[in-house]
Amino acid sequence: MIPTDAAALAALETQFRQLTTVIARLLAARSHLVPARATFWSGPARERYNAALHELDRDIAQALEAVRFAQRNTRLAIEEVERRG
Amino acid sequence: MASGVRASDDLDVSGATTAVATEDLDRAAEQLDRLSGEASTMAVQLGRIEPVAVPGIFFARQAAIDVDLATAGLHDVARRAGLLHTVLVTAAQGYIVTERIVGLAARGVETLAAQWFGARLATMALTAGGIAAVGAGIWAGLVASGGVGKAVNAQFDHSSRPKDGALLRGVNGLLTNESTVSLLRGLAQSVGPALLGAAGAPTGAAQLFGTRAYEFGARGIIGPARTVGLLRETGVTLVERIPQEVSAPPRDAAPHNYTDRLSRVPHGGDGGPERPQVIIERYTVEGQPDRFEVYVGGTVTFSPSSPTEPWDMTSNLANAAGWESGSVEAVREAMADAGIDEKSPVQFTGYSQGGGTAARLAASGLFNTQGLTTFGGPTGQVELPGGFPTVLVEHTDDPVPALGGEQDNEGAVLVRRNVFDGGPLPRDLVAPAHHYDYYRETAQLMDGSRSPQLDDTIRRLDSFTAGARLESSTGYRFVRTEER
Repeated sequence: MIPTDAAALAALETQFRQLTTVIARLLAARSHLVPARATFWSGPARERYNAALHELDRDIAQALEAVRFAQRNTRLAIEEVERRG
Repeated sequence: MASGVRASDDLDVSGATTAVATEDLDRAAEQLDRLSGEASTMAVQLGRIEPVAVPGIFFARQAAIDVDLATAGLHDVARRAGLLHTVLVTAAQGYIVTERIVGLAARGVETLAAQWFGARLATMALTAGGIAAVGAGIWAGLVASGGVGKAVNAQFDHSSRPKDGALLRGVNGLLTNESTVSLLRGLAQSVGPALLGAAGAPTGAAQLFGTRAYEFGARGIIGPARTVGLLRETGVTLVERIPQEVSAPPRDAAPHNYTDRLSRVPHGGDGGPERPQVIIERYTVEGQPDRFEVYVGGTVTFSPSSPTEPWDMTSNLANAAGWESGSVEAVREAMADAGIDEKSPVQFTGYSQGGGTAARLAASGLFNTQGLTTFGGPTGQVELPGGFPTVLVEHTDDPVPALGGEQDNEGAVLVRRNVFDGGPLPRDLVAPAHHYDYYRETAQLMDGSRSPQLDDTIRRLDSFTAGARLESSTGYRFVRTEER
């Protein structure tokens, strides 16, 4: 393996570990820190609040998806560098 | 709950530091605040990842783009969660401001209406002159025959309940109902203004009296009742000191949460008259004056003419009137017996009448009060001073706290719970939402609620005896003596 590839491989592996950590944190945040639907209001206020919660959960899902893509592409990059070496 | 009836677990915590919020709203706001912080932290963590440039490796470039997208997404999550947190906190504060404005406005109208009605009572009574004459004749007969005190008292037993519990159980559905309780609270609040109106006070005068108008109402009930032998206050005398068993080592024996505090209040349901009405714990801290925890029990008999029991309906009414009741006098005597003077640091905890009694003592200014916790006590119109942690617990389907009028102690932490929420009621209890076991259940919910207000307040209350050594725990039992 050429020296630049060895350094890149180490950096990619570090990146992979960081992304794995972020995915775990994000999953934990999604299950514990997104509030349940409102019980404290009624009518339009409750509907608007619950809709905002839904959008928040959707944002988290999108961010999670992006991190998972980053993790998957990092793994594929690692495999390619290893194959090349 | 022993009866197996399903009760509601929702608490409504308000007052003290942050306006009103339901427990769920508090919890949601806290979650969103933490989510916002967590998303920001993760976005910063992702932003620190240096893109790895590996010539000829497509996936490394693609991963860098995905990391940027995820970073932007997490910033969005942090912003949205932060915004929702702000909305909840603002809404909670706006809610209580609105509630207070509406409450004050409604109270103003009620007070004026009650006074208006009272002003016309005399005219109505004169119009019904015949009825008034018959009523006066009956009244005079009762007074001449020595009153109805003994006859009324014979209808009550030692279990704190009228003998005809079946009748009261029959109206449990009506009594244990938020609407009825709210109506009772309004009525309790309106008796005083109505009497002031009947006495010819000018329009609006009742509002100027504040809590005194409520006390005036109670006095208006006591006065006529006394003429027929009911609600007559007496002296009290100490008949027994009862050392209390303490299982924990002296250094670990101090109260440590809401449930523990309530469990130390003397209670016994049907336990008869032998139990203490007051328990006083004395603690020592090196280099400091002794400190005391005073626990005051609830009504022992609802009789309005008990010849022996100071924890009766007479004391309930005297407490409402702002007069020295038998129970207040008894607790003061017990405190003196325990060595408490005006400088001794003291905390009060009370249930039911004990809550009202404890509130009266804390409000009296006669003691160095360091904390007050009441469960189901009629405390609404007792003007509590600030300066010490105060928690007032009321079930919104319990008629007893409602008899104390509107809850005006906004500096206290007020915990409300609708125990049955219109659901099925236990068949074996009268006014079940006032029952000790349901308040104990509420105390347990308070301990597990993670409400910042409740957690902060119990920390302040418990710090009073933190590290102190329990020297003694003594129960006191009093009986009534002769009329004052």
